[in-house]
Amino acid sequence: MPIDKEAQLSTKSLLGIKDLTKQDLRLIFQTTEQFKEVLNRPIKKVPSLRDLTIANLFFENSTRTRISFELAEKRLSADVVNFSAASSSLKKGETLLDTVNNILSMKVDMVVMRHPAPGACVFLANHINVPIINAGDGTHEHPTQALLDAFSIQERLGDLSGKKIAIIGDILHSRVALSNILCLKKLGAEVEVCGPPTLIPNYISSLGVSVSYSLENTLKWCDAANVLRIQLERQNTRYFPSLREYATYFGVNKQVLSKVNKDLIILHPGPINRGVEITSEVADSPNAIILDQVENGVAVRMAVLYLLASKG
Amino acid sequence: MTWLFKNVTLVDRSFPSTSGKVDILISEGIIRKIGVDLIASDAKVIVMDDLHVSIGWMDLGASHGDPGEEHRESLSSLRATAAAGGFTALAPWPDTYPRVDNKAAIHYLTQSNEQEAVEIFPIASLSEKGEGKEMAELMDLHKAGAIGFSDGLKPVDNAGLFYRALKYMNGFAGICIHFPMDFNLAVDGQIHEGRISALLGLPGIPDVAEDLMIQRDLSLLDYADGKLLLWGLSSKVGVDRLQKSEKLNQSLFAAVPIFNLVFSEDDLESFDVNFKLMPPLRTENDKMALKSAVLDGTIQLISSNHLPWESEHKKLEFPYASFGSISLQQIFQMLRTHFSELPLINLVDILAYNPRRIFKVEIPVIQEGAKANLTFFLPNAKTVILKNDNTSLSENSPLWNETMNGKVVGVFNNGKLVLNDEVLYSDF
Repeated sequence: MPIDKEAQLSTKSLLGIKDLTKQDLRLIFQTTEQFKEVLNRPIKKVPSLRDLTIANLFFENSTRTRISFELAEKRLSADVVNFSAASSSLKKGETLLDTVNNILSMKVDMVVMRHPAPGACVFLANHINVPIINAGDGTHEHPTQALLDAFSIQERLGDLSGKKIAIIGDILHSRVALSNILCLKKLGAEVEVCGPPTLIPNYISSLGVSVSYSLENTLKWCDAANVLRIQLERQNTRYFPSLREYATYFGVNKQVLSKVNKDLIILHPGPINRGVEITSEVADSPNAIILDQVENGVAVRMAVLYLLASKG
Repeated sequence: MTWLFKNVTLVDRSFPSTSGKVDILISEGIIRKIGVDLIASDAKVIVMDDLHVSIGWMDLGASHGDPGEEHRESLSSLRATAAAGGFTALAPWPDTYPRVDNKAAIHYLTQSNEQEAVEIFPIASLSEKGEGKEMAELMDLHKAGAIGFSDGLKPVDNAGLFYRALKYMNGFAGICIHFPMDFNLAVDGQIHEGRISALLGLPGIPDVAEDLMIQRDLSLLDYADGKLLLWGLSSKVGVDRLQKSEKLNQSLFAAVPIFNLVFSEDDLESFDVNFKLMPPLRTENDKMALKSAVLDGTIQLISSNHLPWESEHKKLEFPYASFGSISLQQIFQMLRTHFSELPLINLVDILAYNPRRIFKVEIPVIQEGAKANLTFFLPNAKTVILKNDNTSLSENSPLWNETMNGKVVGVFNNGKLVLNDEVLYSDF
């Protein structure tokens, strides 16, 4: 691999974008490009992580992130063990620490964890010694999603410095939004969040973003729009009157895009509620880079795994 | 046993600050003599540089687990912790299992008061079983020795019950202690709603949740004409609201938890569960407003909000961890380190006089012939907060290994001297 062996991440684990420096982000993106090239070869596997065992601990449902990590690990020749529990370990009677320590006793070298509690990966990092990659912790962060989103936008728009990126929809229940804001700001982009007021956290502007309640105005302003999923499963209270009203006023569809009349890039972290936050026409249009995101996800995760392993 | 404390600075409003250092001779639990160059051949003599003394301190708002959860904090460990922190009197919350909502529970808490250096003045449950539905037997509890009534950390949502309780207590001039927080505005709330909650993705507890409940409470106080102590002030809006009330310092009083006075939401940036507190740590601005309110008398009490938990409740993912930290042993050090602008004489007003004045508990005096109820401290010494010195049965504290200003030497009450360091005295 033609990767600069000297360059290293500043962190031992990837707990959130907030811990990364701009240099870290650049290093991850450079490494991603090289792994993306590997993935387009006929033989997609490299021996970089041979002899390393990685545990994927998913305490919350996931399809694409889990498969993406598993593929990334396998293409780096790591040994992989998977653990899935639909509910938290606490509810099953065992603490998270006990669960993880049991798995680590079987000589695991790295942990990838998704968990419903904000801060769960930070908590784990305070108590165990192996590198941890946060694959989404509640409404806190989802750093690899933000990395692959930024990488995918960069592929289309080039350097993100000064670019205008909108994040649209359920900001309140979204770890993707928070990680995206932190990542895009570090890369020099301007960020606006847009959605019904009840789905925008108070104090979000303290993170240096602008807030809009008008989808049309936001789409006119931005160069790329990341349309988030409505997280119905995280809403204990009704934050908007109905899905029909949401789709009417905040759904990204052909009509609103025709009013904007410019070539926007549309992202979506998936899984899509077709007809709610985005219509099929838009999701399947050439402007949408949703499947590029999924493809880049594997390369980004290979880069993160590789860089963290090389630190150990 | 006779004790002679040499060269002590008195922190007491009845002695002018210019009166210099004195010796205090105590025997059989009574202050026999206050003067200079006292000699007593049979006394154990305590000489320490910069030794200060005041009347014994009193805390409102510690939690414990006796009866029901003695592994968290038993009465004996609570007393030991209070003594180590400089307290000779405690008014702990009623939320034990079973609850302090009957006179047998009051007697259980107070039965050994006369033999202990730390006396317990119970707060009884305001509602039956703490369910927030119907009044407990308030008159009977008052007669048995309850000095105030509260549902502790659980706000009384039911305005009708709150009104009736306030009014009913007029029959015996009882005081209601209420934690003003409307949790309907803080569903699943974990920390103060602000910059840090946005950054950590944690559900917030907005300051308006406090303000709204204070407004309700003040309206009902006017209507019922009772006596109310708002416990757990945490915000500037709350302080502003209090200052508008004409009843302040007449029939309305306020207490701030120690942590809210010395830490802020900024301390939560790394998800430290020991800063997960109720009321939540708010902004630096709120903290400064609370300090000003203590200095100008808007807030009369500083409360420990001592909340012991075993590690199974704290060594968890942040949202699953329980609220609260232990604090009773380090209140003085926290104040000396983070609130040094509070003069010692005001510190003693707040920690010793005000709680007894508000709860109508007899105020100890420092004079010859009086019962000795005293706290000894070194305001300018350094203390390293070590787990080895922890007297609580729980260890949930954010302060371990911190070097802090101020040191509590010990307390004297009911003829008992409890010293933090047993080698301090010698026979002369």
